[in-house]
Amino acid sequence: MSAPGFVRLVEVFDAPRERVFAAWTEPEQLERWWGPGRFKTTRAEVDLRPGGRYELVLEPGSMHLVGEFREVVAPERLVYTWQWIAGVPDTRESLVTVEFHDLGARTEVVLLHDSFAGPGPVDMYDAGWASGLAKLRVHLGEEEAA
Amino acid sequence: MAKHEAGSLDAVFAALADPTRRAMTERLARGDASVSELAGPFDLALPSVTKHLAVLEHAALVEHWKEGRIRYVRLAPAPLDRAEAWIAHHRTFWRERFAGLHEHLRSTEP
Repeated sequence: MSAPGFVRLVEVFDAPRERVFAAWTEPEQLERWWGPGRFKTTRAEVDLRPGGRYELVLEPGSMHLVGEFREVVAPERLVYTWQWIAGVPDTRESLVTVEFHDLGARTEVVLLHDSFAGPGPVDMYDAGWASGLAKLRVHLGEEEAA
Repeated sequence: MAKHEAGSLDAVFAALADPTRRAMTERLARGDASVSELAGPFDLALPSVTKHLAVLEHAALVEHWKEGRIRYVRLAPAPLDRAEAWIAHHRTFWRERFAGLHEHLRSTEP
């Protein structure tokens, strides 16, 4: 069952866009911030290119997150699938779209996590639609917030 | 145990017909618990608790996950509530990650 729903969050970070994008995508940086509180990231692998995969393992619990990049536009935009394959009851695939907006010394991150991953990149026509819809949602969300 | 189809209404009724299992779901409605925390107030042996949990799980009323060797149990959101649960869970998840990223960016400031 795919639960229809999405989470959209906007957050401003006190760092230029290149730094925020690097923190979001470099394994050695992910290992430092991705596992907050009682969790620790014990493994981070990132193949940062469209079609490339990533893996993150959180301990305790061996929570294993994997996914594939659908869009990589450094340092502006990332679209990737998201799937827990161990340690978490919900193993359905979802889709994450992150936009990094340049505010000079600061960066606005717009995160859209859609519970439905949509079609894979194999079907280019449908993939275009899925990504278009995600963009539209981000856009509309911004209009609402304004 | 598989007298009723998993997750069916019949399975739910059968599961909740038992007072111990009803009390267990009431306890879980107040918050997630480890299996031994759940067993505590009922003065039951662990295998017996496990059996009750299996019936509740078959009815899709509870779900479990493991952290290390400890097994935790929580109420499973009803199908209609699942989208809402997904949203609430991921909102919290990302807010926590954002907090971690703020901290990381501060501590690595050039």
